[in-house]
Amino acid sequence: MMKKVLIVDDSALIHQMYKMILMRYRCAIVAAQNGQIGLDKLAQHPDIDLVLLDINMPVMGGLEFIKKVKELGTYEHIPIVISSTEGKEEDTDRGIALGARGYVTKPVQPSEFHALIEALFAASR
Amino acid sequence: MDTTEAGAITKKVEDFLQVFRKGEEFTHELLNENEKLRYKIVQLEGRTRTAEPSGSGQLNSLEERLRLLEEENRALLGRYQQVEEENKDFANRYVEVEAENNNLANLYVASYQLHSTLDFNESLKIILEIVMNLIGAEEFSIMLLDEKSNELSIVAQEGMATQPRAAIRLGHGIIGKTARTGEAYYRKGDPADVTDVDYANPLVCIPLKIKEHVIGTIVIYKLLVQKSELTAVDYELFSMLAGHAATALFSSKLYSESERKLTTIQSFLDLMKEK
Repeated sequence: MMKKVLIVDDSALIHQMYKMILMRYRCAIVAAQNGQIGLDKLAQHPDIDLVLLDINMPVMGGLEFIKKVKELGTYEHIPIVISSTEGKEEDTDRGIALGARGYVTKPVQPSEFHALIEALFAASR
Repeated sequence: MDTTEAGAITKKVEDFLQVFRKGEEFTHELLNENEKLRYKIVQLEGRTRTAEPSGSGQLNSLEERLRLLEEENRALLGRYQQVEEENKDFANRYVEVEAENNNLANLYVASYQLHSTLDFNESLKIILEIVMNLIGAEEFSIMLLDEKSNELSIVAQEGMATQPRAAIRLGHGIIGKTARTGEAYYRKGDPADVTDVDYANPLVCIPLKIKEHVIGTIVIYKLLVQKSELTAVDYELFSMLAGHAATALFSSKLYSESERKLTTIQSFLDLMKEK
């Protein structure tokens, strides 16, 4: 079955980059420019298989998005991968502590990214 | 000799002759048996002699078959090793193609985004995003050249201290020289080895060029902590940015100016119509 990936990032460049990297999985992409839109998209597409989430975004950041997802309880099963430009350990540590399943640091290394995505997709089978 | 004695002797002779005749018969039987056995031996020897050549032929043919199979086995082993080598080559080639594919994807994304807008500020934002997200720079700036004053001044920056920085004269310092010569500058040594950022001594300085005409520079002072070195694709991105970012900025600036002029002319025409 075709996987569905929600990309939550305020950068159009990152959206397109993820689309290019994810092309090999032939998955459907759902785009959101911040955490709030991300939550709306989750409500519209409850069959999402994976969320790629930026930490720093306007309106609602990545960490707050994870907290809201946890509060809602409905989407807790969906794996979230956080991405951070700064590579700050505290950001990624907090994200993981909140329930994110993995993280990537920008600039994204495709080989590492693929390994993480494949592992998450395999676990969800 | 009386008749009784003679009779006893005759009986003994007859007994002896009887035993002798039996012995003769037995000897005849043995001789016959011996003859039969000799005949059988001759027959068997004859058979063995006739059977021997085909047995050795079979053996020879089996030996030949074994030799051929061994040769085939050696050839298959050789082919197996060859295929294994080819497999390794393919695996290496796959990794190379994969890396090349990723590089091309990055270049495609960067160039697509650069030409996706005619808004000057958005163009600047896209260049900042490319340098930050695709190259992995932490402190960097975009400088444009004012052709009247021959000075380069910062139009966008990321991660740098916010105090205003003086414009740089064309030909002065690394940045000024890069803008004058149009040649990209890469500082020697380990790019990750940055303790204090020296804004006069950047890590990378890329001229923004439209053909040979320099309109500004992208100056990188520091890379992100997780970025330990500049890779081949980074240099490709720098090279792409030198041309594409320059045209994107130049065309968006022209478009913004023409839009402004058009609005002014339109307002003027409206005013004329009213009068």
